[in-house]
Amino acid sequence: MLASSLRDRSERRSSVEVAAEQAQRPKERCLGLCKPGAIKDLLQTNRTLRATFHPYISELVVYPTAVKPKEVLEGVPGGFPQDKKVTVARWNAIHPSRIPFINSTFGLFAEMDDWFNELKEGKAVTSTGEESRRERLELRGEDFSMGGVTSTEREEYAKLLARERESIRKASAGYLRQLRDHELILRTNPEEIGVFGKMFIIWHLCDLLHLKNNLDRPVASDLLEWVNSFFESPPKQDFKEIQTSGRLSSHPKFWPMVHKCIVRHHVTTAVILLNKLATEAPPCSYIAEVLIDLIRKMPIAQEDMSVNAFKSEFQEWREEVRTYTWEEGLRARLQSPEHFQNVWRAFKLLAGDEEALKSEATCWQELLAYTVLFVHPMFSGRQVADEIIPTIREDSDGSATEEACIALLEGDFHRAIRHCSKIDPWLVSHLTDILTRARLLDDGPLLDQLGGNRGDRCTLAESYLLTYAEIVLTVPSMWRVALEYFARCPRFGRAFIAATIPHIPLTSEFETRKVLSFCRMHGMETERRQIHKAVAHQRYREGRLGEAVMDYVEAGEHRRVAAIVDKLLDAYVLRGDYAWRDVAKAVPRRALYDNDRLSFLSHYLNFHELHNAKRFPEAAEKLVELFTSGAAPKRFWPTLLLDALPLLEWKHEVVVGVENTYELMRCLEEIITSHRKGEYLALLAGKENPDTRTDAGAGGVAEGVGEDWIQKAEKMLQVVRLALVRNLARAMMK
Amino acid sequence: MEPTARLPVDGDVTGLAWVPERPALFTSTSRGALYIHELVDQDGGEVVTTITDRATKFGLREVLKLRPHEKNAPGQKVGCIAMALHETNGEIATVGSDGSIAISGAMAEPRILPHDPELLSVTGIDWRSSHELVMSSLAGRITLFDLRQRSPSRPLAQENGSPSPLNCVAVNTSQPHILATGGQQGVVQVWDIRNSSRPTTELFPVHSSDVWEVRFNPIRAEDLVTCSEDGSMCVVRWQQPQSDFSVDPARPPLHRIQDPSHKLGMNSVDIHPEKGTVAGGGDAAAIMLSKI
Repeated sequence: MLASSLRDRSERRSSVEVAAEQAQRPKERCLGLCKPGAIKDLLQTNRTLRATFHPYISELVVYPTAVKPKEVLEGVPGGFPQDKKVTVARWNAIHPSRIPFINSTFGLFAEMDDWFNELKEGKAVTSTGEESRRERLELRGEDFSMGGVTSTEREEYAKLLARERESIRKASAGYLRQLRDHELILRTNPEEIGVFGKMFIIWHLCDLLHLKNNLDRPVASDLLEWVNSFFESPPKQDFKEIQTSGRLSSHPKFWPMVHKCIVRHHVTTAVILLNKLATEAPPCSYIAEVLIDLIRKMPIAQEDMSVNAFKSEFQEWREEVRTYTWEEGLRARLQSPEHFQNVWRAFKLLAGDEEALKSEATCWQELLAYTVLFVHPMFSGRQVADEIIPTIREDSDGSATEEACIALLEGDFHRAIRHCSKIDPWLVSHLTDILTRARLLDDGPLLDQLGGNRGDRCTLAESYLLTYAEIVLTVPSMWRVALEYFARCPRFGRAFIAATIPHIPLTSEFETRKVLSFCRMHGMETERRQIHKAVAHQRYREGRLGEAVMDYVEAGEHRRVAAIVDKLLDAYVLRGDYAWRDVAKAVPRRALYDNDRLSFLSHYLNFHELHNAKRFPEAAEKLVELFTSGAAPKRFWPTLLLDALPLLEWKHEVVVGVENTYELMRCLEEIITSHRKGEYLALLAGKENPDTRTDAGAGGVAEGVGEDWIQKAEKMLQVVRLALVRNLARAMMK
Repeated sequence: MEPTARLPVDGDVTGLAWVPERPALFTSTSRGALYIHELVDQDGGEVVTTITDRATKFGLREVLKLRPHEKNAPGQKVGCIAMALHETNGEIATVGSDGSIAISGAMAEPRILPHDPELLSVTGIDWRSSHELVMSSLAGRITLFDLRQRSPSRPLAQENGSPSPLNCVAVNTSQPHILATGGQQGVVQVWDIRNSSRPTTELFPVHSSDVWEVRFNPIRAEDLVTCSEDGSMCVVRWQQPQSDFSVDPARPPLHRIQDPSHKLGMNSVDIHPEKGTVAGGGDAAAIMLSKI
């Protein structure tokens, strides 16, 4: 007998394993690159296929390539029709219908996380900055028996725990609702429904057993609720059929239905059925009344009930059941032995006869619920794990879902998580997270027993959340949710964000702004600069210099900004190109404080505006300021000195004062007498030289100008010198 | 709530507007297309003229597809960043990702406006009158653009030192000299630009991150709805912008619509003037409705 049952088991196991193996086998997809099974032909033509994965999107690039270089081979046809073809294969790691679920559960997760963060901060505030006291509280955890913790602290801690519980309860209920709702939405997709069904079963059990407030409470009603929520209840059609039939007691489905209602504690349905029976002939009516009375009176342990009160109440009720069961003449009151069997069975069920309950149950989950409800109504979760689970665990079919349920019933959370990880990444990550928050799982770093640097490792919950977020990231439009998950992982989150952001495709201008906004919100400064730099490069290539400068400033690339400004100034001096004005106008004022060259450009624009508005004295002041502040690059000084000519030669009044004239003279001498004169004058010389005028390069000007052109430029400055001397005389006279 | 009609478009939608007189919809996309769709009954036959409250299914039929910025850069993919519909003459102004501004209409060929150095990194656009546009930019500028003039752009003078980047702009429905902008730091500003060299403003620091859209209530023009990256929507009531750039003590919004379990950014917002319902859509791929 034992041997045969073992053999049965092993056979069943093996069929389960086969199914699991099939599920794990990679799915084959045909890309149409060659005929199925024709890979040998490909090899004969010296061709094979190569492929590269996308860094994070579920995408694969496949292309045909040569096995050996063509030169090495002889007599092999070189061409292959598909050689110039690159095929991109894309698949859905996440079913599109699941996206709303991912979004809404993220909201719940984030809300709970924020709650916890607030509590942490709040705790720091209430302990008025006394770090040691707070640590002491945290270290002790729930162990308050030791001395040194005051009653106020104890109360505070209890309050904190209660608030944590509350937020966990709320989040868990939310997750459960989402799981149930999405199971309904996904009607059209059997594969997803299957997964959601499993996730719901596991989450529901965990929620009822472990996430409620009092862990020592009786679990009978919870287990019943769990079983009722997903194992088929008595079908409604049967109920209608029985109701409409004439004579109830002889209907073949009547008694099975009553039995089912009794074990499932469907009081209303049982009463409706039995009430009908009560209208029949006397023996039936009497039985029906007794059963209705017993079913209605059956006590179920509630959380807030005192143990002794319930015990005596249940005992009383049980005695009543037994009295009726052994009542003399019960058999005599019924017409047929078959009828009697059914009534007898109903009483046996109510009396908690284990054999009867066993034959009523179709699976171990049902048996568990019935046994706890009728035999051990006061059992807590721990007692169920110790006393009932060992007797029924053999009946599990070995699937991940059932094993996870058993592990949860036993309170072995690590084993439960291991099984959950085979079912779905969403389930395992969120379950681990909530169990850690509820202090049911250790929140220390992974593999702590190995010693070494604890800072290098994250918690189990974080590692699962990171994995889940990476899976979410494979859907291109979901980068935001994935990054938010990363952002809520304290240990490695930032590193993951930093690695991900450069890979987010910036397909539109708004997308770019969104990514930048995310970087600003989370203080990802390096990444923000990287994006600005990439955008600036693009703008520069498109010839939109103003925007390029703005982005380079944001990216902190001041050298590049200076290079662009120099290029613009060269173009202005050499060819009279006024593009620099556009840039100077476009640059936001706050950028001017960060970059000297931009600030010069802006001031130079200001000088031109004053000059055009014929506000000469102010223009002169501005010009001198450009020299004295050191903002102007020296190679631009000759041009600025030439700009001063009209001001110096203004007939109607003296515009440049004595001091300012001295200053301009000093600048002129500094250029002319410098050993780097050639360098400083090159730009101006280039303007005169028709060969360099077409040369747009900034650096190229200095080398490309000959000595005679430099002398010509120097002669031009002689004019400035004359004007300065004349102006000085006029200014002194004034 | 169920969608009554779906329409596939090329790229991400960057702007949507209903034509007032007839049930037609303008859509601009990030890949540079501008569509006009007509609302038709479910069989795709007759054009629907009135929409009743009864939940009937509609279809959308493509009437016109334009690429307004193509002329400016042939061969390049120029997307539309923002769009504004002039309700009376039906003209649509779009901002291209290459920085160009185009005016299109159902009847006329799209025309590209002359390049203007003032208009850099434009993020939002709206009509002030049939010949004047107003634009906001990442440089923090508000620029008025008169289509009739030779040098059309006129920047709004801002004297508060360093203006922060602006994401959007809207013109008040009854007083065209009142503008609203939404900035990068979460500040909503209402401007009175009657004196464009000394505009007055009122600040509402109601959000904690980028404000993506601002809209005036078409009937109660003193109310403004806003949405932001921080996941909230606000209804702000402005008074006459008084002083120039004096930062008031933080003025609370009239209503703040935020779901604690909704943390992702809200990208778009609108208000139903008669029913007083605010609707917003965001990164959570969901629509949030709230009665105020």
